[in-house]
Amino acid sequence: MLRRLAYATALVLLIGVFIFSLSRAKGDPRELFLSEGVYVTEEQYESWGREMGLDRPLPVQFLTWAWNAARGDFGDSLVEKSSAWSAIRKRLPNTVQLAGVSLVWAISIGVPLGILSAVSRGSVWDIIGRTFALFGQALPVFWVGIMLVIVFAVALGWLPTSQKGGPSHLILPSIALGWAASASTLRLVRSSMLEVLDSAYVTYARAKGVPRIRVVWKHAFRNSMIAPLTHFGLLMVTFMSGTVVVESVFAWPGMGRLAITSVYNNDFPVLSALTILYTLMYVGANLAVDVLYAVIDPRIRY
Amino acid sequence: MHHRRARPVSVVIAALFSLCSFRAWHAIIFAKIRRWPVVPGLAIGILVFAAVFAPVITTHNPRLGNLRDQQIPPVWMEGGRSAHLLGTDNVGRDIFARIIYGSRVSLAVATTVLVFGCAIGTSLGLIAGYVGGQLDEILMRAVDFTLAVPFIMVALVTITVFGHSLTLLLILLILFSWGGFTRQARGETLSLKTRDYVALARIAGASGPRIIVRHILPGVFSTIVVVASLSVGGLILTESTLSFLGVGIQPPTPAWGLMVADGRNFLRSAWWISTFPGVAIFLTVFAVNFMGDWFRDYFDPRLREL
Repeated sequence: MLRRLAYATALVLLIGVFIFSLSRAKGDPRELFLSEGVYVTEEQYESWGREMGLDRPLPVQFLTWAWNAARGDFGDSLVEKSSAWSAIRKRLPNTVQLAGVSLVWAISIGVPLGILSAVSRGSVWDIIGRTFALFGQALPVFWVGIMLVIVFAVALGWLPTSQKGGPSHLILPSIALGWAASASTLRLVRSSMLEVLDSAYVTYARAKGVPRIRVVWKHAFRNSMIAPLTHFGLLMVTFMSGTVVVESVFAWPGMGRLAITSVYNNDFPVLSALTILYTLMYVGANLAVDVLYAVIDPRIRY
Repeated sequence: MHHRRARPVSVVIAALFSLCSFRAWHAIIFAKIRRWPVVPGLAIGILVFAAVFAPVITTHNPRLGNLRDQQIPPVWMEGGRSAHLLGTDNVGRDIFARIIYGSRVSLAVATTVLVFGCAIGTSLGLIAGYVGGQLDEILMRAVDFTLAVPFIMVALVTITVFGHSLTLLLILLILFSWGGFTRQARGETLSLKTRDYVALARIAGASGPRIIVRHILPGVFSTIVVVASLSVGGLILTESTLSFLGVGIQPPTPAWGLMVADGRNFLRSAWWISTFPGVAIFLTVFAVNFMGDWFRDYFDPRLREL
């Protein structure tokens, strides 16, 4: 477990080094933090440099930067008149909301359909499930979002096209985001379920005369959920890149959209803070999965 | 003794007839489709053909439009023109032509990234697996690193600092695609290097590099083909996603992701601008993934997990 924790810390540190070196890659890092049309006096510029430790060697500069970053100080947003961190914090709940609803979609569609398709292999359900998985893998998320808008918002007029509002505003973006995730969940559940159903103890349980539904739920399902859990980390990646895309399609005021507008505005402070935050969330999710994994399966010890 | 009875003519005729019958052909064709990936193969063939012979297939200029021909609907709709099969976009460029030329962009990006990622990843994997020890440890941690980082954020922040360029896009995609090759190549190498023929080669005095290239690489090859074919689809999707977000291929180059983005403001008046390029992405990725699955089942069914 300690080893895992060490890797996770190393990963976050490496991303920190990466972002720090990006900020120094173009020469004077102060250029990155200055927005156009904002004028500072020579004196301010110099004192700012001293604050960042530009007169000192690079390792010291890095430590200064890392110390500030650890306290959540990534500098001020170039667009909003606030710190980068508070710009992000304002949007965090929106992204969590969207991702949460999508996760519910993904699990409530992916898991049952995956089990159905594994249990009744070769049946209509299996064909539906596999087709769904194939489509989910091949359809670009942004295009699915736009098609949803064209059909349900423009042509039928049932749902709003974009932005945040009542619960109806959540439906289309969460379907777009949950779509790909539910397809990959389905694939994982199906393959691990198939593996477990082929195992000796399931055959034994059947031979004993345990009712079919009990075999599926008690013997197979519980054990088959271990493997998909490890892939939960991968699902998180789908989700993170997904939020960026979906939020930008639906003008959803979350972190993903902030990331894209920051690229357009060259808002380096906000982007660096977002990158660190996304990395932290990713690493945290993976650590949580590792812990959960050990709890569920007593055979595993770190 | 057993006398072979001459086959009556009627049986032969019946057999010939059954060959002509629909059911028989149906069964044969389906067996072939199941055995060989005919449909995805054809789709990929058409795609490559379109990319290579784009100027022959369409005479429209994919970059320049005629402002008088804005938002012409596809040919089967009212107001459609036969000159513009899939209609035109908001600045009067032919969508069919842009999709055809766009296949060049997608294929070129995917191929370049794949060639570099595969070459770098495989050689590092071979070395890591063969040498082992500290080097192996470091390389595998590096692979973990590339797989554990939120790619899209790293791409966004890098592009913000260095500005848009095709080279940067390719480098980013390569940086995040070599890891899969390294992982698989290393795994295979670990098992191959314990084989007797490798030990014999070493006894015969073959050098390390020679053993890796001549004796281990051929054994790793099929796995690498599978990994490569399975990663093409993802690469095309990633490239089109970045282009859609405005941080990938830059206009006026006809890239599929960009075209979908072009139509975003015209969903009410011209749905076809965004729709058709997306269909092109979908069909391509679908065919390529199908091909990848087939390669995997054919070469290496053990790789089911991929």
